[in-house]
Amino acid sequence: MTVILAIETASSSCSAALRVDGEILERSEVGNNVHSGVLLDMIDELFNTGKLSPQDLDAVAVGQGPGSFTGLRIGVGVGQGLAFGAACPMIGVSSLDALAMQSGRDGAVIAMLDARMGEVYWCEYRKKNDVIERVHDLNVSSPSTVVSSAEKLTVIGNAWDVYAGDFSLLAMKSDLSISKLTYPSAAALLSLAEQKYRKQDWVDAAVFSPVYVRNNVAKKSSKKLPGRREEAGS
Amino acid sequence: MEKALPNRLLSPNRVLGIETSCDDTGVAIYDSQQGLLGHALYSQIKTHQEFGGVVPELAARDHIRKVIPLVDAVLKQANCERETITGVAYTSGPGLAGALLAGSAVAKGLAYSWGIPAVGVHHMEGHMLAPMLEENAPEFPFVALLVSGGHTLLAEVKGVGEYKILGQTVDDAVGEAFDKTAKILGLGYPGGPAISKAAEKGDPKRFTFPRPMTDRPGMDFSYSGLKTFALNTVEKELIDQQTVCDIAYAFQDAAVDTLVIKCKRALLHTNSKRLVVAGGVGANIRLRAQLKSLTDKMRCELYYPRIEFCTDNGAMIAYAGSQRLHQASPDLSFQVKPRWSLEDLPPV
Repeated sequence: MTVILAIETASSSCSAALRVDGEILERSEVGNNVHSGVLLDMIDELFNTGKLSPQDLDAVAVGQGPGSFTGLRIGVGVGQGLAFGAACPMIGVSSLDALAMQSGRDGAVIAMLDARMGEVYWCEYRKKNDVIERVHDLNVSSPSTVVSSAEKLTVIGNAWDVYAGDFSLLAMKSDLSISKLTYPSAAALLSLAEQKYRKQDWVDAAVFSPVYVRNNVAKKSSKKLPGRREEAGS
Repeated sequence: MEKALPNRLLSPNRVLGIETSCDDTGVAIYDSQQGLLGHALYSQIKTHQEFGGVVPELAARDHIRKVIPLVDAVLKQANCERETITGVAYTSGPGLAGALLAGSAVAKGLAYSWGIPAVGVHHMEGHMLAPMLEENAPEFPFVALLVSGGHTLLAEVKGVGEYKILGQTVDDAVGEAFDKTAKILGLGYPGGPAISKAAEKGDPKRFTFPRPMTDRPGMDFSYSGLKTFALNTVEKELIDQQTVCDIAYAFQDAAVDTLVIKCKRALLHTNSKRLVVAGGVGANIRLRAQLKSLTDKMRCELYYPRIEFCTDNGAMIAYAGSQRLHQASPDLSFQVKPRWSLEDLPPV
C-alpha cells in the first residue's frame, strides 16, 4: 500500500488527508491564522487513526498555491520537514487544480481564489470524472478579466463571493453554475497526488517550493539622493 | 571538533538548530558533550540589496527554499547520522513573522517526523549565549550588549534565562541607523560595513554629531535622531565624496561613542567585570577598539563570539536549544512571537 500524506494550506482552510484501507481520511479547519496551530495535530490524528507513522510515508503531497503566502509556507515547510525526516519525495499539486477537482460538474471549470488587492488567482480547466486538464497557465488578474470561451461553465472557489458583481465576462454565460465549495481540500489534492505518484512525478524536499504566481511583492529603492549634488549644477 | 562546554543539562543531547528570524538562513548541530559539530549559513544580502533593506516577503521566500538544503549540508558536514539528533531548536521570535514561521514549520515537521522534541528559542538569547561557543567562554554573571539591525540593548545576565534588561533603544536599532544613514549617503546596503569603510577616509574634525540620551542618567538608547542629523547635514552640504566620508565618520563616531558610554554605565551599575558583545554591529572595528580601551581602563574582561557568529547564525540557536531542550513542549502547534521580551524567558 502506498502511503501519501496530503497537506493543503493555501486558503483559510487548513486540511490534511491520508488514504487508509482504501478510504481517504481528511481533517480540516477553517479560520484565519489557525494553520500553524492545528496542522501537525491533524496529521498526528490521521497517522494514529491509520496506525501509521511518518516513517511509513512514501511521499508527502503539498498544495503549492497560489494562495496566502504565509499559509502556503506553513504547509510547504511542515511538508518539507516531514518528507526530509522520512527520506521520501514530495509531490507538488496546484491548489487551483485541487479546487477544480472538487467540481461536481464535468466540462469547463474555472477555479478561482481571492488574491486580495482586488485580484483573483484563477485557471480554467476541462474536467472529466477525476481527470482535469488546464486550458491555460495559472493567472492572477482583476475579476473583470476572468474569461472563458465555454458557454456551459462551472465556477468554484471563494473568489466568486468576494468579488460577486465584478466577473462581467462570466455573468452573461448561458449555463453558469456556481459551486458552493470555496476552498481547495487535501482530499482532492490527494487524488491528484496519487495520479502523479503513479507517473513518478515527484521531487526532493530540498527543491520543493510554493508557486506564488504573484511575484512583484516589493518596490525597488530609488537611487536618488537627497541634498544638493555638484553635478546637478544647482 | 570543538571544546565541550560545561552546562547544566539533565542529560547529554545533540541539537539541530534553525535560524530564520530575518535575512539569514542558518543551520547548525551542537552536541552538549562534543561542542559544535557543523554549521552553515545562507545570507540573503543579494536578495534585499536592490531594495535598500530587508523585504519581509522575499526573506520568507528565501528561507523556505534554503532551510532543507542547509539541514542536508550540515548533517553531511558534521558526518552525523540522523538517528543521533535528539532535538530540533528553531528561532520562534522575535523577528519577522513570515520568516520565523518558515523556519518553525520546517523544524516542527522535521522533529515530528524524527519523533524527537522541538524547542522554540529566543533569538536574542541565542546571540547572548553565542560567546559560549568559543574556547574562551565567559562565566556568569556578565553584562551583554546586543547590537544589530533589529536590536540595541544592554542586559545583566546571571545565568541562562536570568536576564534583566538595563537599557534598550526607544526607537531605531543601531544597525538600522547604520543602514538608513548609509542609504542617505548613497553607500548601499548593508550600511554597517559601508559606513565603516567610508569613515576610514573621513575628517574627524569636520562634523560633530550629538550623543543622544547621554546627558541624562539611564541606559536607554535613541538612534533615529542621529539618522535625522545625518539627513539634515546632507541637505545642508554640497555633497562630494569627501563630505560623504566625513559624515560617515561623524555618524559612526557618535553611534559608537553612545554605545560605549552606556556600556560603562552598565558595568558600573551592575558592578560586573565581564562584558559580552553580540550581534552584527559587534563586528564594527571602531566599536571593538573603543570597548577594548574602556574595558582595559575598568579592568574588565571583554568577550565576543567569532565574527561569523556575531551576525545571525544557526550555531547560537542550536546552543541555546541544547540548554533548553528539556523544556521543550510536546505541543504540536507552533506560534511565533515577532515581539518577545528576554525578561519573559524562564530560567533553565
